Amino acid sequence: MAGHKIKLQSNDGDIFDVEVEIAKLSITIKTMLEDLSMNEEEIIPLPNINSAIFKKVIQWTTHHKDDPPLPPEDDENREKNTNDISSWDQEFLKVDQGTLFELILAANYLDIKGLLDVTCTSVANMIKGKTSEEIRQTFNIKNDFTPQEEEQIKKENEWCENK
Amino acid sequence: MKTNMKYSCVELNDLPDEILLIIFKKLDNLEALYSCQGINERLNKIIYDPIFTSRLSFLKWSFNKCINKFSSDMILNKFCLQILPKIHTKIKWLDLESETMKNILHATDCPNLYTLGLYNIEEETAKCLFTDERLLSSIFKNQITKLIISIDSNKMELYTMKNICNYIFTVFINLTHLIFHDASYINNARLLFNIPSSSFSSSSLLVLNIKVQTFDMCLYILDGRFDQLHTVYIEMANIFHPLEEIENQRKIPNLKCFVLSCLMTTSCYDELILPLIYRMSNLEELSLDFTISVKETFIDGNNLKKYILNYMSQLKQFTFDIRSRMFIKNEMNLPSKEDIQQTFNDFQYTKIICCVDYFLEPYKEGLCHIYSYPSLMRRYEYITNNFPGGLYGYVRIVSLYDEYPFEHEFFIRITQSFPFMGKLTINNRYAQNQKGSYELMNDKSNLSIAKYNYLIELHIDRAHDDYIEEFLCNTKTYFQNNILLDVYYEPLERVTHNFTRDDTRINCTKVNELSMFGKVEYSKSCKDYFPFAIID
Repeated sequence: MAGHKIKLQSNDGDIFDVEVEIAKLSITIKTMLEDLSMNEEEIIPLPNINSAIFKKVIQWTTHHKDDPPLPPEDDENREKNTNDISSWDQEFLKVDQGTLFELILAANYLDIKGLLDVTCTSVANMIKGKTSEEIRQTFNIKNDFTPQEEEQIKKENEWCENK
Repeated sequence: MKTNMKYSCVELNDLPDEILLIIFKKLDNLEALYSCQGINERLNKIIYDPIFTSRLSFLKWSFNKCINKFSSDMILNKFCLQILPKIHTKIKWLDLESETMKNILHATDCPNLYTLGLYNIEEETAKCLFTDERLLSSIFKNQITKLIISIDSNKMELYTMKNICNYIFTVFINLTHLIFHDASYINNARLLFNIPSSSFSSSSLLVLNIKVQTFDMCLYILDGRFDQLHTVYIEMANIFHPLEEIENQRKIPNLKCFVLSCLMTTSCYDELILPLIYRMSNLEELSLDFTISVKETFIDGNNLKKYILNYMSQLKQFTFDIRSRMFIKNEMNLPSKEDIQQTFNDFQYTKIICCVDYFLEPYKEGLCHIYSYPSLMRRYEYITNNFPGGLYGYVRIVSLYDEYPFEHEFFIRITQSFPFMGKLTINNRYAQNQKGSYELMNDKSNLSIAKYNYLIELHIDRAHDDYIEEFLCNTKTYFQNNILLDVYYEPLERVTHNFTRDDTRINCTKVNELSMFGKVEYSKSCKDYFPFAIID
């Protein structure tokens, strides 16, 4: 029913009134409402999401509420076009890396395929074309190889560059 | 909506494996391996998953051409020296481009590699690669069962296919699948020989997809030298009676799937095509795509039932795209579209579409087109105003012909039905009736622009001025850059107001090859009007 709202609570205690149709873009919330027969008057807790991230999620779902459903993923013929992020989504995803990763975790927990898709595509774009050393720097990833393994990798890299 | 975000300390490495998998799957396998291999133990473990390592494609497609994915030697070296040796046991399928295929195959042993795609290959490269002692004795002879070959059409000679086939059947003795792949519809390599060589045979081959020049080649392929074949896709350029006597009686009991297509019109349906099909007694899937010249009656549902279905007791799937052309001697009793459609009423297969057109010029001729739908056809020719519509996602070549005008609305329907058309030919000498009303409509909206997103060849040399205007006016037609345009000079000069008209200028700048016929004047104004075109 358009306009009808439910209450959702983030893990830091904030309560959000969200239109049912928008909240149901999350398969997790949809399941809670439909399969678990939760009362729409009840406050639904979202223990894995803080209020700042949840605001962003609502912002995204509100904008995308009328999108057609995404086709199912096909591993064999998966599209490798990582450029197709709409300009609205590009603007929406101009956030620091931590927020982007939290949005991914939230989309995964809430089971919002479109949001998970676009946030993961955004990270894939950050990876694309970078060397492993650049990836380490970009994403602050520690190298956990043994010194011997590291020495071997360095040597191989030198060969590649000098070949 | 502004949101105040607190600084978050979640990092990429904190994401669970399932999410990292989703992210890496957004990348091409090679991009994922290049960037994420060698970062840390955890990412290595994820990136070595078979989903990223079992099939590696070192090429990419650009305007129907395949090119190397990486132009940098440094990246290729990293793969050859660092990445491939670490995943060599996981690689099952490699797609390689001719320039780098040898280096990559030499980089490491791949004991589980069984599928090889070799693209843009030419005869010399094939010879050099297939006679390489190291590769020959290890990968080629023992491992490869599936081979996909795309021959470089720019470096192709009459017998290139024959020579490459002979190398293949000599070297790849365990081959079960041989697929000749053509990305483009232009200059496809076709098999041609006078007498097949002794090496042109295989006792392991199960699936063959090949283009050949003549029906003789088809008879040779099916004369028993490839006796295990169960699936054959064959496209012939033409079907004539063989000049030599070739085995054409022997049954082909192992064949389960046969897909036959022919580009040129043939009159040998009864004499050659039907007897060939009758040899395939256990056929389960049959697809026929050709144009036949007939004398008395069109090929309709009754004909297909009587001469094909009644003979093929095992047939489970029958698809077809058959045009029959008939010279009209007697205008009485010519069947209508409805008459033909009726013959398919009790047809147990997919939806059948029929089109029947009668033409007066250059001579009285009837054309009946019957096809199963949805269709995998790659070309749809002689479309008239009777076009029944539908979506044809595989069609690359379209030709339009009618003795009644094509209005703008018709072109919009064509672009919607053939979203991937690459070549379009218009043959219509009759002026549009509603030209003016579209101009008025287009002032207000761009909704009625016909968009040809994949068009690379446009032939309007046999069309009324109105169709030249239809295509060159950017308020009516949109196409991408790099178009080849075939047109007569005088109508082009008229339509463009002696190469000064503004609303035809934008589309003309998108032409990169202009072939002009008639009394051509290579004026400066013409050259300036087609600034990016090679004019001949």
